Amino acid sequence: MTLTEILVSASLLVISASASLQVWASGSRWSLRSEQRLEQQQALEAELLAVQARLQQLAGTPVAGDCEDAADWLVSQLPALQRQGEGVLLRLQAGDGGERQRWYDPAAYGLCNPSAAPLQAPSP
Amino acid sequence: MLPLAWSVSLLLLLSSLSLQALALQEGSLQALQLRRRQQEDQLMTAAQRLAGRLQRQHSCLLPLAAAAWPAAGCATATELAELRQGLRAYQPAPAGGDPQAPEGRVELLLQQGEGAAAFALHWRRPDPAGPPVLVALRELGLRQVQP
Repeated sequence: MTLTEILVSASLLVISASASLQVWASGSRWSLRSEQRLEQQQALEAELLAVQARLQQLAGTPVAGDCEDAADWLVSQLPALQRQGEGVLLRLQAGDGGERQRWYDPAAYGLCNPSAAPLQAPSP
Repeated sequence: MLPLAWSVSLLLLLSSLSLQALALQEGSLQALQLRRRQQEDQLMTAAQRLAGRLQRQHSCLLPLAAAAWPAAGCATATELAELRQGLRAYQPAPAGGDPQAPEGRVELLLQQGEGAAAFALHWRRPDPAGPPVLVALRELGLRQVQP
């Protein structure tokens, strides 16, 4: 074993170790970022499902004769919603987690029916 | 000594690269999942629009299979064409359900681009002689369809 051989081997090891350390660090940064993104996506999904579950709960009981009034009533019940056109829009955003957007029509849930009783008092 | 150093450095580099590849794959899987969920959102919105339209303007079509729509006489040919946009299937469930029953369910399959999803519409007749009224819309999930 010559001195040259030892020097070459040592520098080879140092270079490869530092390079792989850098790649490893960037890989774990990526992993961390995608884990955070996954959490945000799951939070959005949970929020969306909660709104939809509440809609299903309210479904079937007419609250107004007019669908516009029913949409206004829905917004008062579920603050995550906003009025858009004849219905309501749910828009959820979370930085890196992307954006979710769904439009709901009170008529699809039987919330407005011309033969319905006048607007119900909002339930808690 | 030199061959050993070579092998160790190769091992180090390979292991870190495979870790990096794993992280990248995880990221692309997540992007795919987000796209799939956004596709579900679009299909749900389309289903809401169709259901709302049926309820507001053509409630007599609600309990009927799509094949029976033209004979029902409560929508013009243009309106029917608009209603059928993206609609791959619309039929009572279970098949042959009585449109005059006090309540019932229809299943529909909507397509948008490459994605398709099934939904169930539940209807009821508050007045036995009156028109059906939608009471709920449920998602049945994404479906595979032939393009």
